[in-house]
Amino acid sequence: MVRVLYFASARDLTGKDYDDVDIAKTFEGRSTVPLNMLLEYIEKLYTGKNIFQSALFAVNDEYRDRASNVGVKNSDNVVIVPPVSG
Amino acid sequence: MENRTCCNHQLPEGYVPEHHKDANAAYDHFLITSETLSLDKACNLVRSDSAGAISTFEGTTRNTFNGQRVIRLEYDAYQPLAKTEWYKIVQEARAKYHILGTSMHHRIGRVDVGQTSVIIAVSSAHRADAISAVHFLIDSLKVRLPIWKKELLDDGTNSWKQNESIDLDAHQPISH
Repeated sequence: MVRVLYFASARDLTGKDYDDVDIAKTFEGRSTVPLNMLLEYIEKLYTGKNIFQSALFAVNDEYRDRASNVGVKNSDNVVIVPPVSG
Repeated sequence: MENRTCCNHQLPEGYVPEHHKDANAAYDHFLITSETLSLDKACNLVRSDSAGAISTFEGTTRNTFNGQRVIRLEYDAYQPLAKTEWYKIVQEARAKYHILGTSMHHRIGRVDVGQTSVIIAVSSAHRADAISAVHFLIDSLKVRLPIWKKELLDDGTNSWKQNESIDLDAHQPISH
């Protein structure tokens, strides 16, 4: 499973702290998918809610560009980082 | 026998300045906590016989925003990414400035008006480095760390805040 963690506005919009996604089951047996493919799948679960508005993303505790094609596999974690305000 | 100098200040023979080039938890302290923060604790973590200065920043909850009264802020953070990203920021500070120790303490949970949400302390041999490093560190924190605050206003509404954009390139290194 990939655990996708939601914070701040993303948590409010999804109503959840996280979603677990089984890569192989969700993506036709693939062991790795590009980050963007996973994010598009999540967006479809919450159609119309714009949960990723202006968000950044992290894979295994490193910021990653959505377009970077970094691969995500089961046991990775992905964090949705809405605009920050520390 | 030549005495060493650092920043045009002469040092005793055999003395090696301690401004480490690499961020390290041994002298770069990171804490996210729901407990009340302490400036004393943050300063004592960076205190050093080699320091001529400790410079500090405290972020506090202000009672107004955009013409409305603020009751309190509530903070949340994703700690693992905050920690790794913070140590990258400190590494960058160490490349720009000669600094001895750093500490960054950030509160999560409720921070009422007047209370402290974040403390940054930096020690250095000479004050320009500590002062500039603190400014660079707090600006970088506000752009890069996965920390969020929800603002509760006196009309009962609340919303997740977004920081205004900051030009981090304005922080130039100090040449020594």
